Amino acid sequence: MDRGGDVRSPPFVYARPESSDEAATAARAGALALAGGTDALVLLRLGLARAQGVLDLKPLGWREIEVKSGGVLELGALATMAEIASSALVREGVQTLALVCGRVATPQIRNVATLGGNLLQAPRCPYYRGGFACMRTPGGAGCPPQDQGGDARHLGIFPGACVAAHPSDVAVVLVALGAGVVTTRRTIAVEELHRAPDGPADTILEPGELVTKVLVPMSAGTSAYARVADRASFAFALAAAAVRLKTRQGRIADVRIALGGLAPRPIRARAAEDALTGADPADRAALDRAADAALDGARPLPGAEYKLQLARVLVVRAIEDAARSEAG
Amino acid sequence: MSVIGARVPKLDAPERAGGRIRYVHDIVVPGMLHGAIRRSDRVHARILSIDVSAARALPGVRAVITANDIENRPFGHGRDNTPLKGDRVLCSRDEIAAVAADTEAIAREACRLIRVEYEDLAAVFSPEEALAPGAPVLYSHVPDNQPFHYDYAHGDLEAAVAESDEIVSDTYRLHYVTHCCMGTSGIVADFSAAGALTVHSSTQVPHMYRRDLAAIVGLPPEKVRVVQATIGGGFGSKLDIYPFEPICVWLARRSGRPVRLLFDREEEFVGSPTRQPAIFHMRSGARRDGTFTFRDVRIVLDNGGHTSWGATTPFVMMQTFSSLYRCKAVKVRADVVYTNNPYAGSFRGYGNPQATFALEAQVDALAARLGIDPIDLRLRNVQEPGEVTGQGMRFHSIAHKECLETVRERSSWTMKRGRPGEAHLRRGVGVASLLHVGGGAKMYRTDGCGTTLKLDDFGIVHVTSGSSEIGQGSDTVLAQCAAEAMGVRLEHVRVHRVDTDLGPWDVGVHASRTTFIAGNSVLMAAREAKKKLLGAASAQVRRPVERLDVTDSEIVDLETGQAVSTVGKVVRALHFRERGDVIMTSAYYEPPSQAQDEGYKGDVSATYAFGAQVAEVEVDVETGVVRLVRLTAAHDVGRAINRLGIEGQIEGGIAMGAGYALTEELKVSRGVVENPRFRDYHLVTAPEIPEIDVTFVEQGDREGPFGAKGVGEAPLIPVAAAIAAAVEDATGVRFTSLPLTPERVLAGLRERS
Ligand SMILES: Cc1cc2nc3c(=O)[nH]c(=O)nc-3n(C[C@H](O)[C@H](O)[C@H](O)COP(=O)(O)OP(=O)(O)OC[C@H]3O[C@@H](n4cnc5c(N)ncnc54)[C@H](O)[C@@H]3O)c2cc1C
Repeated sequence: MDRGGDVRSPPFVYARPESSDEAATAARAGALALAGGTDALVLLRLGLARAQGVLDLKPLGWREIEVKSGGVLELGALATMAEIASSALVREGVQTLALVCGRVATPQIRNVATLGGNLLQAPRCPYYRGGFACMRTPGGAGCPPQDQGGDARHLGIFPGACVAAHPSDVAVVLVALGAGVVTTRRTIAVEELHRAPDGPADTILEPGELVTKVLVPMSAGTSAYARVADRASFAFALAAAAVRLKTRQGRIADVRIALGGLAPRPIRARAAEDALTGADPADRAALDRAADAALDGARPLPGAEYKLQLARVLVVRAIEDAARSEAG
Repeated sequence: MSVIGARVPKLDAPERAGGRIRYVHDIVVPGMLHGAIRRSDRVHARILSIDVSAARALPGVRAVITANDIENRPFGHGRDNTPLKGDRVLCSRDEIAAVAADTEAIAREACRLIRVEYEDLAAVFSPEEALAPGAPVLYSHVPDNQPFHYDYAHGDLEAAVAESDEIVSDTYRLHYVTHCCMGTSGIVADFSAAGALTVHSSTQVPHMYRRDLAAIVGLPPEKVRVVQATIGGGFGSKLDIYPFEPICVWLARRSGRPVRLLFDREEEFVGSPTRQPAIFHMRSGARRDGTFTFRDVRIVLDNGGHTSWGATTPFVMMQTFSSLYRCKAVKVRADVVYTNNPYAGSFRGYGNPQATFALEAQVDALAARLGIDPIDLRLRNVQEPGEVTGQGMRFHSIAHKECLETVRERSSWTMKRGRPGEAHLRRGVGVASLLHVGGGAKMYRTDGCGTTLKLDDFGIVHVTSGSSEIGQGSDTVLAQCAAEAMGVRLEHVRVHRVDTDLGPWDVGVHASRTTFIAGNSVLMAAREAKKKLLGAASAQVRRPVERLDVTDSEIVDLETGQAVSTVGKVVRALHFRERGDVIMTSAYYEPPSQAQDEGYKGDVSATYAFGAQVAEVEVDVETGVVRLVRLTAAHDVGRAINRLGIEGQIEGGIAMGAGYALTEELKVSRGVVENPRFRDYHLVTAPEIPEIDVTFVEQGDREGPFGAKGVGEAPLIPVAAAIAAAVEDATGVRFTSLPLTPERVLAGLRERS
């Protein structure tokens, strides 16, 4: 149906690069990378991303899923959620990753949303998306729920300049798995990819830097992911926990724990990991202590207190699940 | 073969599924402009100035109107709304100006360019605030902020309280939810050169709408024609006229061009009605043997800044309190209170889901005090056929008892009740019943519906009923009624959409009345047409009329069993002769119900629908997540005319009720809707739909078409109450507010321990 185009819209460039060099140049010049487009286009429409044009990454390929030597699973940044969820290599190599990719968003979105786009999606903070100016919006400043008060149900619970909750489930799992991202410039740990924002950006990527693939170690050990959301489909996690662990002689020898939905970036819960190392995974008190350690420093705004309880329970459940799959 | 009780796919299903149905959004009139509305930025403010110069100057803008440019007549149930607000806004959805332009984008951009200067006024955001001494007054002629009161009573309350062995009391607070019609609101207004107005509208009440719209825009009703567009969901939201409709008419007048005005999704959340947020302060009592003694209810309704039909929901609420069970003495007082919140309209159930939530909570509380099983307690208090309730409703047919017994059996109630388990996932079952009008509701001097029926020369039966299809499947039911009564094939019946110039009068779609009222009206017209048809056939085939019948669209000789003609042939022969004739009949059905007296007493519906539902839930007591596992429903439907349709109606009602109970909430903070989008307003999705087990109890109603009762609203009504009861069985906590989100459940569990 023709409802008429945008009034006085400036010329807008749609680019299909032939090579990653060409792509990097265009991206440096200020074009917005477009992968699945499920978030990028929305951000443009809401005025949350400002760009002279878009750079469609799809011609670049970047969607292979392969097992490399040294037990590393390599996933192209443009592999879709649905492809990862159904890939035999992923299901056998790192089942938790396949499971989480098969659960995010909705079936329709999973068919187009990509791995890179998922890691780099913008916050789902209702203030940020709801037309409020804030430190994350172009030209904005401050944090409305912290400055003026308001519903904090969907926000993170750790103090900071921005209290949005990072929306990606996949990033949380990848942090726990010790995965890395390869960009057009370097290789970094997923854990290092995101940072506490002091402006619009929540990653350390530089202008024009593109993510090309993700590397996941398939090292021994088991993993698990637990989340709570308002519905089973089409809802972001209110809180989530991912765990990867190895046991030796019934004791936790090595563990990585990551939390989602609680801060503007996925958080690695090192204090909890320390508390758990050497513990018996069947020792509920030890798990509770680890969960408390994971949430040390949390200071929820009024209305978000319930997330403390959710996160505690999810940490314990994720550890139990991971330990159970190791036992089985 | 009878088509009554068959499983008939909706007649328009291929068109809908194939994307070929034309909603109001698809209507294009040559020369048409696009309208858009500028709404208030404040919740309560004086308007100091409105500057439309930049909007007028935008290329492509053809008309800009404010209150000064139109005859701004008051309208609505409280006559406290106007199409455009000139001096004061009272809530965030208030309309200040409107634009017609060459494209929708230009119209919206022009709206943004309109500059409004306000002076904020003190505002109230809850009925409590509005009732507090010294509260800001919204309308000077209503100094107490209470435009309406309802007082109902039967029996001797004091005596009934005195004879109670147990008394329970509590307060229940229900929240905002909204209809979420897939088709957003819209209208096309088109004037003829001679000044006659045609509107393509998605109203649920086209005939009354014609008169009301005409009055608002200052046209004689005879100059207004309402053509109903295919409606993309109604659920009550299209019962009132809202300001956007006269606004569009004024834009068409000012621009001299046809204008289409459509809401986008965000506007639909902000600018269309909601369900009433309601507070119930309630006490009830029972004797030791379980006999209910009394019920004393005070209802406080948040009316918002203007009054719509929603203010009249206490009519329906009080029926449930007075008559769902036998009860000696009942007192209901309802206060409707102005606030600067969005205003609520009518919404499926019309207040009944809220009332049932409160009432059934008290029944369960009494059951617990008395040590009686909740289903047993209800069974001790259900009425018998023929009983007249304290409010004067006469239950000619009532299968409430059978419904309760059916759900007890089919939900494995006895095995499951009171066994939550020890693990973090607790199970529970809970029950709730419902009473709703099932044979219309005489709110006006008539509750009637007209039908005209024409037989064409190829044997097609054209039914033009005054009633409206809003997605509920009524056209299919009416076609079945006509086919059955006339003996023609179902595919030979066409039901036509409402056009006030062509079709007969009807009150409108509400009160679950269409199958019952329009069905009876169609039956009358069809029987008459069949008589005429057989009369003509008898002369043509020269056999006595008693020997003829119509079967499968053929004229059959009953003695020989042979087809002697066809419907089409008889009609053609009637045309092609001297002094020819047509077969066209009409009927007006008026149900045998009464208007209520001043005390709200009277047999307001020709019959009443009952039902019972058992919800089974799983509650994660560590995270507060509630999952609806199974819903067992039994409904007293009189007779199922279209089994597939009524199943869909019941399943849809259950999904809607599950959303009301568990996930949906229109968040209104200081008068502003905070989540006007589907991402943040959580409807249930496919994974949340429980296993559903539906039983129809079909005892046949003496007045209903083929014995049917109306059940459009019924299946939604008890769902939230049953879910809350099941959560109580699982956790020991009875929640008195909704939705049951993780944080609400966790807080409730913490409070108890
Ligand atoms: C309704 C809904 C529900 C959702 N629910 C969930 C959920 O529960 N859990 C969850 O994890 N996710 C969820 N998502 C997010 C979804 O899974 C997508 O992953 C996400 O929207 C972005 O994927 P995309 O490929 O479409 O990215 P795009 O929209 O194309 O891009 C997103 C951002 O990343 C940038 N970008 C994309 N690819 C690259 C690259 N290779 N290099 C550099 N920059 C790049 C873009 O410029 C843009 O800024 C949901 C999304 C929606 C719309």
